[in-house]
Amino acid sequence: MATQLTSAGIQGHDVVSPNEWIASRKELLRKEKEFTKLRDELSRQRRELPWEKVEKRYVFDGPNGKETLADLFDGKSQLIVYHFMFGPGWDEGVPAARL
Amino acid sequence: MTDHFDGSLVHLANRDVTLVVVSRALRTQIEAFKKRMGWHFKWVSSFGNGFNRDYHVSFTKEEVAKGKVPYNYDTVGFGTEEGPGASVFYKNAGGEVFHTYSTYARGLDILVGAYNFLDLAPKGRDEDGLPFTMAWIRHHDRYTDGKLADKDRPYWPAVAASAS
Repeated sequence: MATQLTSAGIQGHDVVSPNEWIASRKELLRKEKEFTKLRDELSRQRRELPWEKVEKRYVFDGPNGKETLADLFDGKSQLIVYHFMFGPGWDEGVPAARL
Repeated sequence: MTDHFDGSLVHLANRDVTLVVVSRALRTQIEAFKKRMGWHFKWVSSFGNGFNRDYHVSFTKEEVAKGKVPYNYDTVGFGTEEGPGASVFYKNAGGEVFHTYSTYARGLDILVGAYNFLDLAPKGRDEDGLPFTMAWIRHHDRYTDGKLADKDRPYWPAVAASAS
């Protein structure tokens, strides 16, 4: 496992006085706040995407037996499905994908 | 990624959200793997129902062989017949279901709990020297036994590896 760990960003790193450190940190904070607001705006636009009606009747097999997509909501109005990479015949699910 | 799911379930449920995991593997495969991992979240099989195909996370052998699978709103090469994704749905009072959002590839970064911590650390994700970004990730019970396949294809199931 050690071969996977590098010293990226560690060797020869700047070490500065507390005053210089706080100045650098505040500059990054300005950018972080900018990013946070951009992310909020992106999430708002995500929520504004139009929807498409699901016309197909999907039936899933799970701990409760056969359930439709509508059943999977389990009394809530919002459903998030995570598609886990695990195919028929595989020994186990795959934790990471080469993309 | 899914190691972080169980702790989120109760919080999501109190915000009107149900989180479910779906795979094309059979229910018996899913139950065995879920038990090994010690996970509790709901995980159902979409085997035979076309769901994964319709939401562009399952591909045919032919598509994989040609290096042209429909993924992330594009046509790309992909190593296996199953890909990762997240899809979001809304159900109205009348019981109608709507697809509101799907995301793939790095759009899923936000769901990788460990990334959110690593992004705060001096070395960050520390993936520059790896054959692909998530190559370091193992199942949580496999970090200590050094069980790696070759460095370019660590920890892929035999079926997936032979299909690529």
